[in-house]
Amino acid sequence: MTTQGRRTAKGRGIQGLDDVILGGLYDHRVAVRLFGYAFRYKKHFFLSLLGMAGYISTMVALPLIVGWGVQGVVNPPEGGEWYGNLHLVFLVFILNAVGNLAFNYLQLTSMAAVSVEVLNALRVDMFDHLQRQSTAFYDRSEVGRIMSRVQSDVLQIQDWMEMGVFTMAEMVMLIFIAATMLWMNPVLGIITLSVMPVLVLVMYVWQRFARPTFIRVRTAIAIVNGNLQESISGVRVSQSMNRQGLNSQHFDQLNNNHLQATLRAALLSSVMSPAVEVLTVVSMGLVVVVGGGMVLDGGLELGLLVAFLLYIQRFFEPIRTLAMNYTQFQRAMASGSRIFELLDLEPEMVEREDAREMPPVKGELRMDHVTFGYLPGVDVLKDINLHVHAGETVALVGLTGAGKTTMASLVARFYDVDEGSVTIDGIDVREVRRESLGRQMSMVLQDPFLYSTTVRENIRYNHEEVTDEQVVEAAKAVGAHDFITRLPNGYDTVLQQRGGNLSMGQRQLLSFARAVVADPRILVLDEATANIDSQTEHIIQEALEVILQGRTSIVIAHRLSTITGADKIVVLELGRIKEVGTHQELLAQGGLYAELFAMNFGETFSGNGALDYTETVGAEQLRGATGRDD
Amino acid sequence: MRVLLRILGLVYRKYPYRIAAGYVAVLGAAGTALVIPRVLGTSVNQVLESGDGDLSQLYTLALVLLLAGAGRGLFRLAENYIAEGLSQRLAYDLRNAYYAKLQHLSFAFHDRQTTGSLMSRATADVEGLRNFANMGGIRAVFVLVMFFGIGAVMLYTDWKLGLIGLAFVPILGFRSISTSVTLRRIWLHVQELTGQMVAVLQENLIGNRVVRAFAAEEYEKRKFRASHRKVTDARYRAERKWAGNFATLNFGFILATGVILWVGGQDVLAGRAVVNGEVQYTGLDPGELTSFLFYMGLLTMPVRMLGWMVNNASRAASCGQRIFEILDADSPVRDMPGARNTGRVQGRVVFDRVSFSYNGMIPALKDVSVEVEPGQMVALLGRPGSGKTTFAHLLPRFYDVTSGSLSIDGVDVREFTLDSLRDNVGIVQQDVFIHSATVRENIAYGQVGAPLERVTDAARIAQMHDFIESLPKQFDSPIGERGVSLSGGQKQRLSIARTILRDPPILILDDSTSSIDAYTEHRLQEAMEAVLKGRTTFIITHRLSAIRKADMILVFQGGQIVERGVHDELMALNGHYRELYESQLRPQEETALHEAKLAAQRGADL
Repeated sequence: MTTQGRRTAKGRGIQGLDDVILGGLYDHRVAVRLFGYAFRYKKHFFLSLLGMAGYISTMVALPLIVGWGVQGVVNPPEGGEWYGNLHLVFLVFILNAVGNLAFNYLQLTSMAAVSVEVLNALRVDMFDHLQRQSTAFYDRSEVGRIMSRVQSDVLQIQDWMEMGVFTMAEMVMLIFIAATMLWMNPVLGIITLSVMPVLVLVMYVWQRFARPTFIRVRTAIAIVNGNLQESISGVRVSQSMNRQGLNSQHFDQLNNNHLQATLRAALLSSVMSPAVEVLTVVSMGLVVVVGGGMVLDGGLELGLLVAFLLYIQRFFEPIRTLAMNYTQFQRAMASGSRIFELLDLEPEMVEREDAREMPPVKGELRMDHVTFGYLPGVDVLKDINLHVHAGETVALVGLTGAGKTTMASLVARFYDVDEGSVTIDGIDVREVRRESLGRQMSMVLQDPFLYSTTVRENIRYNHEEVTDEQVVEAAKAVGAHDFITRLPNGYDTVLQQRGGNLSMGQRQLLSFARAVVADPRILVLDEATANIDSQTEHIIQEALEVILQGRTSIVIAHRLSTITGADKIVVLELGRIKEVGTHQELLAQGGLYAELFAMNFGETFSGNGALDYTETVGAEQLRGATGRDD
Repeated sequence: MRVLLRILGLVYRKYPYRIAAGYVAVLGAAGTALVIPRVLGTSVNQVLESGDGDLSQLYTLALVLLLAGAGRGLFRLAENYIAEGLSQRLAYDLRNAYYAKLQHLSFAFHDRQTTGSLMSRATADVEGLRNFANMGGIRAVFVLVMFFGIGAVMLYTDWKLGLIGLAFVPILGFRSISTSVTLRRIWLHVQELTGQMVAVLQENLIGNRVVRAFAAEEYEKRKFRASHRKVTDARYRAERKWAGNFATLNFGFILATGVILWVGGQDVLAGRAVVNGEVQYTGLDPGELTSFLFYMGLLTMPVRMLGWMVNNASRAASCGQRIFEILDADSPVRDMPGARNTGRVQGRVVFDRVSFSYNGMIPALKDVSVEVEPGQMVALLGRPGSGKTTFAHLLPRFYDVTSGSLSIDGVDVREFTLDSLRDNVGIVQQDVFIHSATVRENIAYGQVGAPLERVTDAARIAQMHDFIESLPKQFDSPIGERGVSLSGGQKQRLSIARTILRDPPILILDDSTSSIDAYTEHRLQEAMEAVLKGRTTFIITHRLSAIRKADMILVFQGGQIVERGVHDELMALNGHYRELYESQLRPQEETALHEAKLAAQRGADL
């Protein structure tokens, strides 16, 4: 039963909707939630509605004013005072035009304000939500996929909102134009509008062809880009195996496939033009013939006839826009579903309702019958019991895959235990707010992660209250000050992505300094084994002494000095604690530790270090797990 | 400008007929479009003149209107389709050329580039060029034809009113262009800010463990909010600028219509006379006035397009620069004139005073000389950065030597064709690349069409066979991004299988077993023994067992070979090798043995 529960709990990532290219034209749930976001900016929202109403009115009035003018010119009252009237028409015309300008501007800017704010809110909400996700979520989800949701999917939504409102305005205008035409001359109005059903039918048929084609284009380009990316990453293999020619042929196939799809799509989007064009002139022709007859009979003013023709000119434009933006809408709906899928993903490590503030930590740590696994049914740690007194340094020792990193991760509460408990100062870590505990703990990772900002900001990280002097002090304490001052801009040197312009050892020292600044009560440290030159190695050794002092420390140890100096050594084997004791005790005991130590406990004790743990052991375990299922 | 001409040149040279057809369509579309206002104007006159209720003229006009509309529609269809099709063909050509170029550019080029920037050229930049070919190539002509056509018709009809109508064009056109230029600048700024915001996001996601470890969630949220606020504000500024321009242009056109109506209306009234109860117009007549109103409507689109086109061109210029930079890049490593096919080599390798530098300044290899007899096994040893991998990469000419020479069977490698040279040198590289394809396709990557038996054999030697058999579809199981993900050790074994299958007389193993557990490695070594027989082998490794078997050990330091010989000789020297042995090789060896023991036990447990 527990295994079953765990399986679902641990199986979640974001993936579900990645392959959906187009959604429906309108997805009610998505639209309602987006509307909720837009509604947060009530002022601008209503201003944009106001602007839209004004814009529509002035646009609808325009042909009427022109018609009024034309009528006057064609059929002036006797006496020639129409000159004066023409000036009046012009004045009204100008007023209407200025109104149009103002309302249009109001509508567009308010809408822009709403849409950029919605974009902002969506991204911020997604980011916040991502901060609540557990480490396990990140183990499973590709960063690239999350990024594309936060970036491009949200952009789609913004486009949709702006274009959607624009299209909506045009549609409303269409209705008003139709109403005006019917009101002015019902017969002529109905005749003009009679082509509408035909147009709707044409559009309906058109989109049935268009949809699969546009999907095909999107899929094809994704395949082209996927292949290109893979070919760039794998270019060294291709060259060493002489695959270039074959690869180019294959790429040409995919590329050509995309070309054919786009050509078809081009044809499809082009055919709407003649359809709309023909229907427009059919309407105009009807108005000329029928309306012309009415004018001759005296049943219609010539000015109105011109106004009708002007209306028809604007009438079909919005319909064409709608047809063009059709797939854009569908794409936005698919994006919306992806965004909300992410926002609706329950964090796995939910804080308890009654979680309390962690009091200042003294540093007593206890693991009580802890069992844990990354995958259901495969325990990486089994029944771990450990008691660490405040201020002690504990070294974790064992072969690759013994569970050292996992044990350290549980102390940092990257994961919650499956069975048993982890307590600090007698308080179960699950009972306190993560943030309040996390503030008093630090973890130094084997491959230290640095940000592409200044050295100073990297050391200060998270602790904005720390002064520049304190940063320098911390750097001095760990022996990083010397190399920092030799950097081009000292502490203000901006690091390349992930600290690319520093050596591994230097990066390690910076992460030490960061830990010193954080001044945690409990420190979890994964010692680096990788290529560090002997001089930096020496500095690191000394730095370790500084940072371990005065706090409870859990160290995944690769260095002899760390191990012999530890208050307690925990020897792990295959997920269980094999031996616990001091260096002397364990040597005297003559067990696994003594054996390992005798084999020259050097700097390269566990070979490739613990970081490739998930890679090697994860996969092996996975195989074990599937094997166990049958 | 040169870049833009080059883009157009690509299209013109390759597709002259399509271009010509495009221009015909453009002229047709413009011509038919020009007819419509004229017909509407005539209709108005017709209605005014035929006081006797004769509708037959109107039917004729309606028919002309219909024909003009249908013609315009069809021409526009052709114009759209041809312009879009041409631009897509250009994109296709560019992508193919770009792909082929990337495939052939040397390692030195790829060392300097990130996948991201290469990808963005293939996507965003190609799209920029495509849009330009679409807009600049054909539609630009449409804009010109419309301007001149409408201008000519209006001036011909009434030069005074025509001038008034046309006066708006340069004013609005200039505004449209200048706003476009400003907008482009603002958008570039938005992009830059977006880039910063994305960096914050990406680092937060990749470094999520640091964030959790320091409980820095709130700090990260503040950082992201601040960064995104800048993006939002900049976007808003851009949008507002755009909105201002859009509304103003709209206003300009409406205003122009109004002025035409006002001035033209006065003209009509001034020339109006009632002769014998018939109304006659000596100047402008109402039909002409009406047609002017519709012509103003037709001008809207081309003026708006002016702005887009300028924008497009400036974007295309920078996109083109980035793409042509790659397409024009010269690979220093290429076939020399008169290069010949090696055939299958014996495998005698000589490095003669070889020096090499990646950047032309700091040497990575200094004056290295080695002679290796066919079938010998050479172990390369040294700390990271000492030159081992560089040494190995010169052999298949991933790079060319800076000075000295490197020969196989007595012939300088630069005198061979690259293809034949690389067929002879198999290399298992440190970073293994898995393609999103089946296991079989991945193993037969360099030997397409190899029979399944040989693929199976290679997998067996590389200790991959059992694993592959355990997969749901065995050799046909997809691996890589969309399939089963492999562990580091499995990837390395696959890479070995891939290289063995090519059966090269010279084999390079670059740290190819570092992630393979000791137990499997042991079995791998046994199986490889038969494979290595008769091949010249270079092996970069830290495994003592492999080093011991070598006919020659080369110890690298600072780009030079500091010691050479077999294990016992080098131990006796009491130098670099011995130091490496004591500090790295021996402890690792013993740990490995122990690991192997444990692994065997664990295997029994499971």
